[in-house]
Amino acid sequence: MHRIISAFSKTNTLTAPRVMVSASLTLTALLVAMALSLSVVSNAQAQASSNAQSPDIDPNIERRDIKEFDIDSENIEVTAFAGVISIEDFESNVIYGARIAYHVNENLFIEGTYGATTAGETSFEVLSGGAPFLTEAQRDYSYYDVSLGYNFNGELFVTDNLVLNTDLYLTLGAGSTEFGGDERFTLSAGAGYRLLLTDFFAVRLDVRDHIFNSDIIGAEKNVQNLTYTISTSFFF
Amino acid sequence: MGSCVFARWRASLIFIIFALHMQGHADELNVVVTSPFIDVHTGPASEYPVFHVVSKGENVEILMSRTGWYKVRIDGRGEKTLEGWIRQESLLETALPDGSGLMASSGTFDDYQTRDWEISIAGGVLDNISAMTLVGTWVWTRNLSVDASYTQALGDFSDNKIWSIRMRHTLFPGWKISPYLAIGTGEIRTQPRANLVQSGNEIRKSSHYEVAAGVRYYLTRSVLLRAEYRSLLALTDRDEQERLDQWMLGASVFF
Repeated sequence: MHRIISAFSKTNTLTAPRVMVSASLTLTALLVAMALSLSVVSNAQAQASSNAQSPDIDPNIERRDIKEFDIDSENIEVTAFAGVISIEDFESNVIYGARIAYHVNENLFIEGTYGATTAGETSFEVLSGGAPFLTEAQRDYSYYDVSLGYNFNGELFVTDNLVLNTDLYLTLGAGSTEFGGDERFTLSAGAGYRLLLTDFFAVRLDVRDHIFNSDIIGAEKNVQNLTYTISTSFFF
Repeated sequence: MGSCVFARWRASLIFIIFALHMQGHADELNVVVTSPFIDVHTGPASEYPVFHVVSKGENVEILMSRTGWYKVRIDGRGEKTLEGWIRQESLLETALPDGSGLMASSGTFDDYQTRDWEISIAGGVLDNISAMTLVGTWVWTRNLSVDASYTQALGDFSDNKIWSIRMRHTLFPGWKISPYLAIGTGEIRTQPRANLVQSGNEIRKSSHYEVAAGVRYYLTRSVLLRAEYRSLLALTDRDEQERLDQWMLGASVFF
């Protein structure tokens, strides 16, 4: 992404006051002309009105000279992650996904996340040796959410001379989880740490909890699915 | 299989990012400080310490920006150069070598007037079930804009997905807080929950018309808040048409 910086020539900004001065002079001249026309004979009136003939507005306004510069603005962060998700009642599994964030200001960012994995078996399914709760297709687990994040800016002092900028952040969001053949409204909350190795490349560690209402194994209950991920991200 | 597809997808994603990163890199911009001094921070936020000060008449090279901050390169002691970050506001205290002043778009209310795009997210209720909405907006004129929106409402009995295209009219674009009206059309897809066996698994699709009224408020740099009510009229196959009401509260960013 790019941001435009425009430059304007300062000399031209003096044009505006000059127009105003000439306008007020004209106004004074007009008032004088009106006063004269009321009291003085017609030939004097003609003389005064010829004085007021200067144009009301000077049409020759100088053009404002604006130059534009494209400056690289890096407010969008794209992240690819891998980690472990602990799906309540259905074992822990490796999860992959991606995030895209827009950094609104130095503290706030908005981030969308998509992740997918395959759920394991419940302990009941393992111990009984049969009677699966879900078909293979229903074990596909995927989620998306949109979160608002807040950065606490910081620095990591690696050595005296090597200092890396960091963010500790908290996120809160909502989205949907598709699991067991259904989609469920999902709240997600978490925290993370972003280590900026360069201005556009970072490594992130995230912990998120995804909470939704599930009745897959019987009674309806809130399930907590904790996710631990490590990711690389690029700003552009 | 899945992870293999993902690996390929991730490789192409990384490629796209690099391609975007390498695309036509920005102009170099060298400016001169015109105010008594400008603080240089170690990072792009006010919390980062000031480690250097550039004084009047010194040269500053602007490299890139992040949110409201600009990365600059400056001459240090001897042959060394230093890199740090200055505030957007500090740009006003600099000039080009020929004396021209600088302005930068920074998501101010004036920049809002000349925006081209908006992205919004909103949460709310659609007939008493929670709903999330994502909207992409193309700004056509000061008053008119075109929204493409996608809503997902997940209830206990069904999963509803609604997409729509609509025209939005902002009544007072020059005011920080302004009401707006919208009309549009789209499609509603309803899928019953998997555990409701008797209802089957078929997806019901129906076209809809919608009218909406809302308020948008310019909150801060690049961010708008919006509150909206919309009424959807679903054109069903049955004898009766179905009316749905949605309330939502959300935020937008603009470019």
